[in-house]
Amino acid sequence: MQSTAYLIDTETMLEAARTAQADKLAPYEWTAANLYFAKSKEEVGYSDFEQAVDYGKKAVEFATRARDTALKVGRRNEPLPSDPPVVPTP
Amino acid sequence: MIRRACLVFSSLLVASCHSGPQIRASGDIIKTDIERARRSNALRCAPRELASAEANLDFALGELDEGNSQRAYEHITEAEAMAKKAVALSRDCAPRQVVVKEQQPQLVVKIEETDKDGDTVLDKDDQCPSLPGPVENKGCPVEAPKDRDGDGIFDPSDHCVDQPEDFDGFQDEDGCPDPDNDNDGILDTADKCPNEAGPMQNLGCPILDKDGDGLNDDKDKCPNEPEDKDGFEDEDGCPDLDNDADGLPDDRDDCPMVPGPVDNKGCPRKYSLVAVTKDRIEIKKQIKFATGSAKIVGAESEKILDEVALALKDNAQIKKVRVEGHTDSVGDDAKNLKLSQNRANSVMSALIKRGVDPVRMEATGYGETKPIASNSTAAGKAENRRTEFNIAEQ
Repeated sequence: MQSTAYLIDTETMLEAARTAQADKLAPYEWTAANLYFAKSKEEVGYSDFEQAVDYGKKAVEFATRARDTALKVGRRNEPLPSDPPVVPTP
Repeated sequence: MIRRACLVFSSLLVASCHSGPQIRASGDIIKTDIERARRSNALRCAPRELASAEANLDFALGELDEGNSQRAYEHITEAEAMAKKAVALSRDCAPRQVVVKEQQPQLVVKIEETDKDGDTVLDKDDQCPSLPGPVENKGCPVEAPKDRDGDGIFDPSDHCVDQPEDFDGFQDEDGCPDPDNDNDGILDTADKCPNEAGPMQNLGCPILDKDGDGLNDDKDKCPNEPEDKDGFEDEDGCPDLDNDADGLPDDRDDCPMVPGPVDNKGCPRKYSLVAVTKDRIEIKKQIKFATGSAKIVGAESEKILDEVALALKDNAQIKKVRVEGHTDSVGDDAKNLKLSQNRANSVMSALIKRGVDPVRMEATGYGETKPIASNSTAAGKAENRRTEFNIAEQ
């Protein structure tokens, strides 16, 4: 079923986003993805599969964006490779 | 039980209180709040609240479309709360205004020798200080030549000072427009070949004879190949290099108008024992067989077969010939039919041995069914005993 397929996709993408720390680094996209995911599941419960697919698509979109944004922000925050290592002072 | 019924009733009452238009109107207000929050940088300061407000608004409108006003109401309530929170959280979030320190006025050294029009002639020496001009004209502009028709060619060089040049790539230097470059009477705008004269029926393009054979291209079926003018189909403009289509080019064909085999210099071969007509290969003497048998006998029969084979080879246009066997009426009909078939087969195999393609032949025995003379006389019977080579396909 298409709605189920979207739910599986969203779950996978949300997991990928979580790994990239999207809940901290891309909170807007992360929140939206989760809300749409929950709403999609709710619609499946009401057997309104058309709405479920629509919300599922949006959930996948937001989850993908959350992951990408998190990765981008994470890279930006990383210290440059040429930076000297931080040595704790005694 | 009564309590549960009351609960259901009250929830139904609540749902009925919130009509679609009301929820949509609330949605519009929330949208404004969301936009305000976004402008205040809520994406940075209240990202979760902003996302929640937007998503819940979307859900509310979706539920309304589905006719679920109760669920729509729940979402719109959540959206409203979140939008307000996002606005509140992002109130102080917009980037602070940066005050740029005013620059101290700098000291300016005034130079008395000015050149206002920038023509390198100092104002004190410039008779036209506000108009640039060369030194030799004391800083005043030299009057530019006029161009009355504004075509970019100044009047002294313009042969038509009041008619602008049309700049169509043809005599564009004289300043005169050329509406019909090739003077063929067709205006350039309608002329397919504006620089080559040509009649109207050819859209103003010249009618050419590219191959120079004297026939204009519009009448020449082969405009790129000159006609060979050898008296054969010279009107079509196409060269006919082998008029008789016998495979031998005319310049090597002794008989270019009559087809003939290559080994006879393109001339028709003269046969002594056969003649090729429109519908048959006639044999002047009959092929002889042993009495009551299909065996071909006699040197003359062999010569006839040689010539029939040659005639078939020379006349490739004959696609199929029917070798027919015929008998007189003496004897049993069935035997005669069989004998005639065997004799036709025998002739056909003799021709195959002489190199004739078997696909071009078929053998048919007719027995005594097709007499060509009376069977009551000896002479008539002799005529009826015969082999024929009729053209079945060409």
